[in-house]
Order: sequence, then C-alpha cells, then structure tokens
Amino acid sequence: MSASAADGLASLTPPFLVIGWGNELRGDDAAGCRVADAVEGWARHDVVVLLVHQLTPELIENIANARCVIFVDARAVPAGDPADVHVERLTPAPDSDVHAPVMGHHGSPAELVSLAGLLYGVTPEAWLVGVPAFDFQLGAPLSARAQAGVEAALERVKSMLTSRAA
Amino acid sequence: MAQRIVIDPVTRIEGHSKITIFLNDQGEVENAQFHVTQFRGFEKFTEGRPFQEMPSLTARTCGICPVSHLMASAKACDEIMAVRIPPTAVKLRRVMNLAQMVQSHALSFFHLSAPDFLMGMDSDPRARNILGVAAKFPEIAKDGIWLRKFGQQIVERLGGKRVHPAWVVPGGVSKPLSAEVRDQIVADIPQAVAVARRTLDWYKPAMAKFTEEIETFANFPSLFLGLVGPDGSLEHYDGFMRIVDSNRKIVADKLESSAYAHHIGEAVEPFSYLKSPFFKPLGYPGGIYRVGPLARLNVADRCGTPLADRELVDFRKLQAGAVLSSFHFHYARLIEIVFGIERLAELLGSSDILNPQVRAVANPNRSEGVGVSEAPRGTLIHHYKIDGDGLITWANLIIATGHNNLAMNRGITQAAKHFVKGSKIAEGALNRVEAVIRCYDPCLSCSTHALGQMPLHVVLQGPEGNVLDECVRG
Repeated sequence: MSASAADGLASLTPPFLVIGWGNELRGDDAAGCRVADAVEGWARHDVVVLLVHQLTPELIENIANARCVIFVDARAVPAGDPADVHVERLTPAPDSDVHAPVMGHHGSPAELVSLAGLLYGVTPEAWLVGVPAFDFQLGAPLSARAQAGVEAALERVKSMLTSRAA
Repeated sequence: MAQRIVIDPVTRIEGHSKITIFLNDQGEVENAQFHVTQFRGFEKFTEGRPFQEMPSLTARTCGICPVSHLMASAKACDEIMAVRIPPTAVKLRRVMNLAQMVQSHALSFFHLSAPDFLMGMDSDPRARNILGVAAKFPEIAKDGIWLRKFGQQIVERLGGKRVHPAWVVPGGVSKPLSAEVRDQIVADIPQAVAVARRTLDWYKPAMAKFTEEIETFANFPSLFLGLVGPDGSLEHYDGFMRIVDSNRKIVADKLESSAYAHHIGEAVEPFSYLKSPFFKPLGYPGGIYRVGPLARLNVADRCGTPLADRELVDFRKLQAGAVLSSFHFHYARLIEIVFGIERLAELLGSSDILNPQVRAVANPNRSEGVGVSEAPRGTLIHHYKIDGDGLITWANLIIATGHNNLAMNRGITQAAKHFVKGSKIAEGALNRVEAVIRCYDPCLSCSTHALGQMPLHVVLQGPEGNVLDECVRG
C-alpha cells in the first residue's frame, strides 16, 4: 500500500482498535474474546473490534491504521497471586532484540506492533489488557472468577477509550 | 566414536518433528531419520460418531488446512449418501478449496521459506524469519501477508470463519453465495494476480543462487502421484488419480478414488508416528512416490488457465521428464497460486454461481465412502465405514504429508551427506537439512495417527546398529 493510500485509509478508519483473542473452547481462555465481544456491543463509531483465535501477521494492516490498539487476552493467574486485571503499555523492542522463531500463524502483540512499524512506518500506541484466568479445561464455560475479571477489564477498556477519545 | 546429531525441533514447519543424523567412526553421515513426534488418534476416536459429523470433526485435525479435510470428508459422506451434489455446490466447494490453497502456499513460501531465500541459508538465525524479511524486504513481506489474507478472507466470507469453517457439509454446502460476497472477492483478484506475478518475477532469477541446494535437496528419481481432471489438467477437488515416473511416463492412470487401497499400501517404521505410504506394485520401500505441488505439475498435462500455463512452460524447461529436485516445490507452489487465482476468477464469473440450490439431502445409502481431494500439501484420502445407524465403525485417513514420508527421509539423508561434514557442524548446514523438510511444507499436525499407548523409546546406536544406550517408557 502506498504511503498516500495508507494515509487516506487511516483518516477514514476509526482511531481505536480492540483485538480480543483466545480459544473459545478452553474455558477461561475465552476471556479476551468475551471482552472484545462486549466492546463490539457498545457499537462505538470510533472503535474497530476484532475477535480472533490467534494473533497473526494479517492483523498488521489494521494495527498500522489505528491510533491506539488495545489487545485483550486471558492471563493465567498462579495460585495465591492476586486476581487483578493487568494493563501493560507495549513497547516494540529494537529490531536486534526481536526474535520471531515462527510467525507463520501466531505471534505476540509486541511482535505485531513491531512488524507494523517495519512495514508501514507506523507504530501506534499499544496496550495489553490481561484478564485474570484460572481454568482452561476443554469445553468448560468461563469460570465465575474469570467472568468477574471480564467485567473489571471492560471498565478499564472503557476508561482507556474515553480518556483518549477526548 | 560414532555420533548422532539431533535437530529438535525442526523449525519453520507446521507441527513437531525432529531429525537424527547418524555419523560413522570417520564422522561421515551414514543415515538420517525424520521423526514425527506427535500423537493424534482421529481414526480411533471418531468411531461411534454419526458420519455427518466427520467433516466438522476431521477439520479439527488442523488449523492450517482444515478446508482440505472438509473437502475429502464431505466427499466421503456424499458417497455414503450416494448423492451427486448440485453443480453450484461443486463450484463453491472448489472456490473455498482454491482459496485455502492460495493462503496455505503463501504461508509456506513467504513466512516459512522466503527467509532462507532472501536472508540466506547461512544468515543469522535470529534474523532469518518474517521480521528479518520485513526489515530488509518490506514490500515482499507485505505481499506475503496480503496474499495470505486474500485467501483467508475468501474462506471466512464463504464459511463464516477463517479456521474450521462449518460451511462445507455432506451433500454440498450449507448456504449459497450472495452477489455481495462474490463482488467483494472478485474486487481483490487483480491485486492477487499482481502479487503472484511479481513474486515469480523475483523468485525465478533468485533460484540461480541455490544451484547446490537444487542439486541436493531430495533430488532423486521417484514416482509422483496427484489428481488430474478428465482431460489430464491440473486438479485439486475431483478427477482421477494418476501416477507418473521420473520420465513423466504414466505408470497408472484414471484410478478411481474408491480403489486407492488397491494401489497404495501403508508401512509403519519404529522411529516415527508418521506412516509410510507406498505404491503397492513396486513394494516397500521401492514404491516411493511424492505428492504436492511438484507432483501435481509433473502429473498434469497442463494447468488449464492462461497465466499458469505460460509459467508451466518455463517450469518444464528445468528438466527433461519430471522435475525431480524437491527444492522446486517452492516454484511449483507459486505457479499453483497463479492457477488458483485464475480459476477462482473463472468460477466466480460463471452464470450459476449464485444459484440457491446448493445441497442434496439423503439418508445413508451405502455402508462405505471414500473422498479424495488435493490438499495444498498433496493428495488427501478419507475412507469411512458405517453401521446401520449411520455411526462410524472404521476410518482411515491418508494424509498428504504422510505420502511424502519416504521421500522426506531420503531427502534429509541426501542433504545431510552433502552438507554435514567433519566434526564442526555449521548452523547453515543444519538449516539446510531442515530446509529439505520445508520444501515439502509438511503439516505434521494432520499426518500422524497412533492407537493405544504412546510409548517413548530413545536409542543411541553405533555404526553397526549396536545399541550403545537406551531408555524406555510406557
């Protein structure tokens, strides 16, 4: 895509991108998708929401077109640790520090943001919201504690979008 | 003292495997083995399930090529129902099958193998990946990402999701194509053609830098197996099985899918969960054959679309008879991408593509069904038997990658003997041995089956095969 075409597209594209990912068949691993699902239900005109099974390079164009990207994923909580929502600012690592042993069909949020910078010269503000997750059994529904984490994560995402939309 | 070199895991492939290279007392490569270390068990745990569930169940064999399993499985179910599915349903299944082939080949070429071509086989492994390609060759990286997205979006638009779409069903497809979706797909075709053509434009001259690899990467005479259409043209969904030898002389032709077991046997080796299919008339292991893009271009008389056929003329100039070097799987993949895009355009332009009649409905009318299609990696066979209630009593899956098992083993031995020398093992030499496997773009998630317990047996062997040490579990 040419720079001018990319600029044109970016000006038409909503500034916020929320990407929720995880395996919806494995219990609390669906937490990221549940958050994204709920954000989509807000029907905000300034937010694009993507629900995906894995993070893949095909998301890079969407990332490059956003001003702010919020990744949402389940975060396995070790026993005894507090079950808080973690919010972390993502900083693309210098090229020399980035290792992508296999990026054919899954990558990390930081790798995708790095790739967007390399390919499109654009590195949007990027955040990772980790929803506390406890039970990853096959076929199990979201646990009650993970559901509570989803609600807390939604409050954080709403606050992030509101503060940046101003 | 004899040594073993172990590459574990093999990188930039789908699934898990390892390679063992056996050295003699002089430190020369004696032999090499390709071990597939995964356990799946689909043939066993699908017993007792209603046959109609098989497309959905077997699609879960893989997250990269689920569409291939949907195709072969649905065709096996069509046979059990004894139906001929509506013509529009055939076309729509072909559209999805071709789209998946384009995205799968794009993944293999750009993400998994292009780092070797562009960064160099001996380059720093930390940069020999898609990020390294993106840093040095951003336009090529963008092309690869775009082309894969093109194929995946077609699958998603037709089936509702990119991975494990539920749209291909026994009897046809679950819903017709809308004009809106057709137009969305067609709008992207010119760019897809442009990406495919400019990829060939840089790749073809780049092959000149890899003459040593071309000479030694699984370059040996073998049979080749693939589907062809009634007129002998390139085929991915239906048609007949054809086998040619290394002179491109037809050895067997117009083989009905349902009779595959008369021609193909399966052997088991103790060092891998991947079985070794072979051509029965020549026995095991003499009946070694290859499948996949290289094989398909060797068995077909023509592609059947204009741009792909023009590329096929150049491809055939590589060698009289069949093209034998497995390095040229990569070139064949690019030609198939061109073919896939051209054929997609033809299918979507046909007058009945929007016809709402897309599914035949019937109860079981046969107790057995075989479905054969071409997955991106090669010929895929699903064979089911059912009881009076329509429940699966037996299933056999011969997976594309499995057909290539003998060839992959022979290929890594050939490459190891050429590139691995002496007591100092260069990283580039080991990368080349791995790269032989990558030529085949194996999908090891699909191709392994085992029954019962999963034993683990590690053996250290001396040059005479004497056991120096071993441990056993299970």
